[in-house]
Amino acid sequence: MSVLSSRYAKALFQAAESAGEMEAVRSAVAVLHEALTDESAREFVRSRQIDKRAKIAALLQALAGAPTTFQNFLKLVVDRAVEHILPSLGEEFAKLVRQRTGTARCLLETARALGPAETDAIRAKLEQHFGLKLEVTVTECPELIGGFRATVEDQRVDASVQKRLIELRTSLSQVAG
Amino acid sequence: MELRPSDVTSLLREQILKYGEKLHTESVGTVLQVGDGVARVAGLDQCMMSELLEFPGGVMGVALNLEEDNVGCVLLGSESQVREGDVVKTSGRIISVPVGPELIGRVVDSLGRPKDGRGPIDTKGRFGPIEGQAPNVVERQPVKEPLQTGIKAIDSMIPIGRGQRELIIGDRQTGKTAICVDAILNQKSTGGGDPKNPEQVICIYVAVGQKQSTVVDVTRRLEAEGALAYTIIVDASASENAAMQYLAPYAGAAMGEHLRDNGRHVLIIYDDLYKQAMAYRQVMLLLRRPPGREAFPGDIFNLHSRLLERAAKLSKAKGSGSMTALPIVETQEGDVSAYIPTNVISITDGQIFLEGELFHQGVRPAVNAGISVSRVGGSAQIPAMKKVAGGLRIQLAQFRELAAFAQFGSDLDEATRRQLAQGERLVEILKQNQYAPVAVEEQVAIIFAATRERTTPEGKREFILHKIPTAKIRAFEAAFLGYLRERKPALLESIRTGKKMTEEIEKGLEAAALECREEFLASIDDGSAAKASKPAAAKAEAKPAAKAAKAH
Repeated sequence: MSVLSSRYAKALFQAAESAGEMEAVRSAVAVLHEALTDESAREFVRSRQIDKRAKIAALLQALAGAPTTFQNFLKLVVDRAVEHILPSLGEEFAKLVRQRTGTARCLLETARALGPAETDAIRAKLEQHFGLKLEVTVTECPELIGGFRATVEDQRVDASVQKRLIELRTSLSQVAG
Repeated sequence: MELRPSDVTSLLREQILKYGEKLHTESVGTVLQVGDGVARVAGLDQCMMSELLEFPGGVMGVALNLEEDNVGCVLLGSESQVREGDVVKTSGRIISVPVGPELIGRVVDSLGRPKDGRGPIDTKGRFGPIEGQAPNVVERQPVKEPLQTGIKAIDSMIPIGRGQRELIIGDRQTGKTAICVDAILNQKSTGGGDPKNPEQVICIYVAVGQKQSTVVDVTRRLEAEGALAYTIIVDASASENAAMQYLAPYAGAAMGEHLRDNGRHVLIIYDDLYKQAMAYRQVMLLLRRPPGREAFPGDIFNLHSRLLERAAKLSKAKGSGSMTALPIVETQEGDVSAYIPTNVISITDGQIFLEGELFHQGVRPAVNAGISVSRVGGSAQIPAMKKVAGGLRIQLAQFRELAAFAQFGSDLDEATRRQLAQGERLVEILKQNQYAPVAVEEQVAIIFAATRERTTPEGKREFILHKIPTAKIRAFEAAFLGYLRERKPALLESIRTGKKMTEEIEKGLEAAALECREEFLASIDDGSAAKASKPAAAKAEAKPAAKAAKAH
């Protein structure tokens, strides 16, 4: 993630909001993000050999039906030769959308597989703790030994047995010198 | 690792009691890039400036650059355990070191961890931020109490007061560290070397970028002289990484501040700030801060000024504690006008300039009294020293002027020869062996003897020491001090306790000096004294005088 892509994403977000095209722009950004997962598409976007007008035409054709705000955004990006921000635009834009809607992604690591009821219980607790709606992804992580570890954006709650054992080891080594 | 079952039990009991505690949220980020002792971390949105960061494998880091999309930090341990993508956690603690009297007598690193193999240091949970705030103007009082270094040339002409910052500057191998070690040794006289005695000045020696062997030598010497008992050594020698080297003086200052704020007197030595500036430059260049003059970052002046401002004499309301700083700066080829030396000269309250040429001429300590200065001046001297040293400065100044001319002239009049002879003797008197600090009352006595001009029964004016050959001056000094200690201890005692030079003391000292002189001359009469007093020798005195004059 670069500072530049976050600035362009913020500008697009604000423009979409004021033009009342948020939903359309959001889906267009998602389509672009999906398309740029392909290496050859990324190379095409970044290439300096391709004529700007041809590049804009190709992008607009691929994203046919995109709202005017997004079309203008693409033209601006190509015109200013900052196409390298496009692959990370999706991530940045999604982050802004999550901030606006008060949601956050949550990676929930557990020592053993959880049932849906247990996951919901932990989600409810975490949502209460962070004051956000969480989009939870659960993964199994046996080295935690017991308990769970939840990472919400750049905040982490570690309630695992592994962490307690590490703390105990640190305390014992301090006592022993 | 030694563990007692009781320790394990108490730790487990704590864990059981706290098991149901509320969960803590940590701020986490991921390592983007690591190398050369610095790392860039994405995330860590709530990271504070100078916050300690926890890397995997127990490696710690300090956040120094808070940028829009990442945090630049220095690593305080081996970077080999840190990899791209590793999770980094904030600790919620601004970088701090353990502080308290428990550190006295120990050798620690820049984070206050023991390095002397003498077990853990339990400071009962006391920590001090390494970037402590300097006392403000209301909390201070003027520097007025002397801090005796035990070095005649310094205590008499460049006095240092408690709370002062006095720079020691000179090329390599000119005796900078030696002066500081002597100053530490001399502090034994303040409280008998007992750190529990509130009068005892506590010393902190911060070694930055020094050779390990130098640090070992200093430590062993202090230990052998019984001075380690009241000293803390903060060791960030050349093998440590740059971040540890640049943090060491701040860590030492934090330890000193705690003692100062508790009413104690502290002497802190930063050996040396030029190497610290180089370590800081390295870290800042790696963190991509814009370089300025000599590639040092823009805040290099503030790096030293905020450190040295922490040295202070506190007001009575604050407990009257003090922290005196003796920063050392190494010059290259005697160039005091380089960037770092000029910066530190302008920050400190004076400088002691050591000259390589003098050192090799045998003038040790190689203090160039001409350009050394203490801006606190006489207020940091006992009245007795102030009185006798006034004459010393004037006579040395006259000697300097005359000697410059004397090296061209062969025929010198009696008055000129007399002043040159006096200057040479003063230079000899100010020479001193290493690790041999002299008590202030003895310094007063010998300087009095050297500068005293009396009228003989025949009505002539004479300096007391003129009858003694220059080469024998140091032997006479030893004899005179021995004489006073044995036969006139009351005189020394009255200077020590009264701190003033009364007429009675002056008469007593003059009589003692004359009596001792006669005895001394009689004892050397059969040997070298006869040679030295030959008239030819007196004539030849003019030329070596020119050399010695450069010293002062």
